Amino acid sequence: MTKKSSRKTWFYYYWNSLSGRIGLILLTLLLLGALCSLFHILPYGPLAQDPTAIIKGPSWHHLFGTDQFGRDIFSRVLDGLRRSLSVSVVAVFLATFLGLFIGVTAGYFGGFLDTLAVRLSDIFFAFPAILLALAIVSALGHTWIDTSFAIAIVYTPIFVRVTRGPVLSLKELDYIKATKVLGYSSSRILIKHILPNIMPILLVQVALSLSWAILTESGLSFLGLGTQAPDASLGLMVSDAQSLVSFAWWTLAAPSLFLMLSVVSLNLVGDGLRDSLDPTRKSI
Amino acid sequence: MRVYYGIDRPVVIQYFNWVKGFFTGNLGYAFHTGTSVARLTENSFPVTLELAIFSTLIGVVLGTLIGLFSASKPGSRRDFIGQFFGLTALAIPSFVLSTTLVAIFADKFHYFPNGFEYATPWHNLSLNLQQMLFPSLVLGIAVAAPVMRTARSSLLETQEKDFVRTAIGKGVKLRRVKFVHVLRNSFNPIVTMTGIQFGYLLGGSVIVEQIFSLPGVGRQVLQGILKREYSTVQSTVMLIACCFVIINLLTDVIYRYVDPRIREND
Amino acid sequence: MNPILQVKNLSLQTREDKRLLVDDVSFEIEEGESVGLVGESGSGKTLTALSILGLLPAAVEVKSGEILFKGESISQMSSSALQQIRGNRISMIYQDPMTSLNPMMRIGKQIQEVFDAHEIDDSKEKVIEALRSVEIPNPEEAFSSYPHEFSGGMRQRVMIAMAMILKPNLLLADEPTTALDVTIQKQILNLVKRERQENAMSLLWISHDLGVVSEMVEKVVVMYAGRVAEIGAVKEIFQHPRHPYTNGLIGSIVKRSHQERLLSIPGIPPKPWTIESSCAFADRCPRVQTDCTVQKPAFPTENSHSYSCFHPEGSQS
Repeated sequence: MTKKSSRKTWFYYYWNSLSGRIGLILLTLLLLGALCSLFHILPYGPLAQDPTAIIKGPSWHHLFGTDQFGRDIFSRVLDGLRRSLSVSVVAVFLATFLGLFIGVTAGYFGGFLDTLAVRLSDIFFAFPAILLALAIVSALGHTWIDTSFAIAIVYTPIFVRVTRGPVLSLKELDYIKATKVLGYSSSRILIKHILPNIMPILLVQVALSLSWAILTESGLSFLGLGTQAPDASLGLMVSDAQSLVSFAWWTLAAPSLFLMLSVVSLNLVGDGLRDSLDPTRKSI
Repeated sequence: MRVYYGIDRPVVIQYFNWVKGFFTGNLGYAFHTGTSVARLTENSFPVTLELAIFSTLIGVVLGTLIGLFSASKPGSRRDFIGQFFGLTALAIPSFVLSTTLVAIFADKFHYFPNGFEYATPWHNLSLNLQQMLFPSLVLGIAVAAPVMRTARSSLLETQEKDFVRTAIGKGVKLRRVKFVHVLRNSFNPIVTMTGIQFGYLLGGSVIVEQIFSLPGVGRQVLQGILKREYSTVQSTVMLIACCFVIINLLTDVIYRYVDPRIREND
Repeated sequence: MNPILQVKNLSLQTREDKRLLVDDVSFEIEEGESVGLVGESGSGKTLTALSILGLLPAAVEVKSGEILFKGESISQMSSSALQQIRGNRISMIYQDPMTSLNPMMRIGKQIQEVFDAHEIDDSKEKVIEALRSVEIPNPEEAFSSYPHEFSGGMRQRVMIAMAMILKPNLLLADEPTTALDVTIQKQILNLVKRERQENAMSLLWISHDLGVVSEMVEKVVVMYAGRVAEIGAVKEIFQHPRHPYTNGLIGSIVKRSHQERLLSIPGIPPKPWTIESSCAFADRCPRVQTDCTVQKPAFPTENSHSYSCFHPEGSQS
């Protein structure tokens, strides 16, 4: 249909929002940093120790200084960023799929399945995310897959809720009912007609959930239940910094900064997406 | 991938069994302390409760004030500042803020009340309050962020309503309009958000409890995990869930009290 | 000739894209006079009225023009100065009684607020008396009641009580009966008429309903697409309408005596910002000629009967 032109206007609105613009630029920069780590284009290896450069402040050699083992903080931070991001992306990806599947089928087909899905997700809603993630991770293990899985389970209910709502109201729309009458199979209706309408809200939720997932993952790592030493992880670095910060402020500043930037950029992107959905919103 | 799927199924089943366990009440026995989980929770719950109350109070007041500040001139510089606050407060992980506070006060100023053993309000009120100070501040800021966003959007919506125009039109001074007419009618979503945040704090404060050595419920769960006392974890977590449900019910009751329209329909 | 209100060349636009909403509107209200501001939805009549008390919505701003109350300019007044006049010398009642009262404040308190706002003693008795005068049953009970306990008609009476309580010189009434039942409408009209007489008050009655207006006012200002089309005494307007739009309006009123067909004007009104250089009514006017589409006709100034039209009814065409 008019997909091409509508995509253009959508992005135009997105770009119009200051939050969206800043968020996207910031996020891209962070992603580039993480990619550098992925392809090992780092100034130093994140695990490489240098006994001659212990606890050095920020300098041209070491942009964010070094830690007690002489490891370059900047490289570790980028590596940690990559780790946090990959865990979060996998987790949210899982949560989105699971939540989408459950939410849409429950909302569309209704009945017992629907009530069951709602009750279950309400139960999960009762738990604070970090606690639930803690509990699940304790049962699973400490590999990054376990962490991803735990976070995915924690954030699935919100996707169930977010997708089920629109499906319920869309279901009642005349043109959807018409397609049913015309004999379209349910899956066809779901894929061709209902999904595109849910996309925008889903995307906003994905951006937000990514920011929460990063916070949860770093929280878990901080407590020692996520990424294990000597691997670099933003949360773990903050935890390590606790004993170093009084004489090496950069060991705290660097991971904190990157953590906050990730969260901020994702929130801004989410805001930008929300603005592009509804240009009448009064945000900046 | 296949390996992943292989692990997948048994974990899921494991998990559902665990969920089933939630509903079989009966709090177990925590071997490592030699006391029952029930006794443990008796002592830890009030700590978390006290922390949650202080944090929510700080967060709601701070969040509503900033929200008011922002909403009074939407799109202006003050709005920008307000929203900027909301954004950063949301982005600072509690453990980062806590660690920073500890670094500044404990290391530089040598002031760290949380270094001492936890004091209940009954034994030593002054120490107790000091021990609650930093953790409540940290959590308060975390609560203030979503409260501020909710307050701001609710205020903006109410400002456009007809009865606000009537109030201005009959000569009511603008300060009074802002507080008595706009704010008072914007409370509903703020109350909901407060309830959600408060409930969240009843277990979600685990990291702060750990850093500031507050023997609360969150810390209890964490210790249970670290020491592999799964019965503790199970029962405590379920307890927290029940609390959350009760909080939601309480929020409903508050609505009834606050909004005369709903009161009518009882 | 003592005009209590003078609207001079008032133009309003949207704050964001500066689109013209109301174009060069001028009219006067004499002391003790009642004037009707008539037009269909979108004609700009409500916005014009709102701008008198500085109650424009956030999205609209004054582009140019002036409003004078008792000779003093109120359009340039600060908020605090305007606050003294609102509810006190000039009051307003609004279209939708269901949303115009604070749902969380008791009726009595809302009326007392008017006293408090102007530093006048706010006794409960005065409020109850006011409620009684607008024929609200059980005024003592009503004092402690909430708005949702009342019907639309009752709420409108409360609004009127609230607006009249300080005996203002001028009342702005924005279609207060549109949202009400026909039977209640009549009651409200009579109530306002009575209040007006008792307090020798000037009145600006805004409506889309010429029939209702004819009962209430002495002079009519007809607005169309953000502009003033015609101003004249009620009788004149009805018997000798000069602007073709007014003519069409009159023709669409149901006449009880005759079995005349209801006339309707085909088309819809244009948006005020799209008609910069033509007569607003040109595309729907049965008397339209070329000059109507290339020039704005001059707007009426305060003569006894003025209109903005190149080829009015009754002239050669």
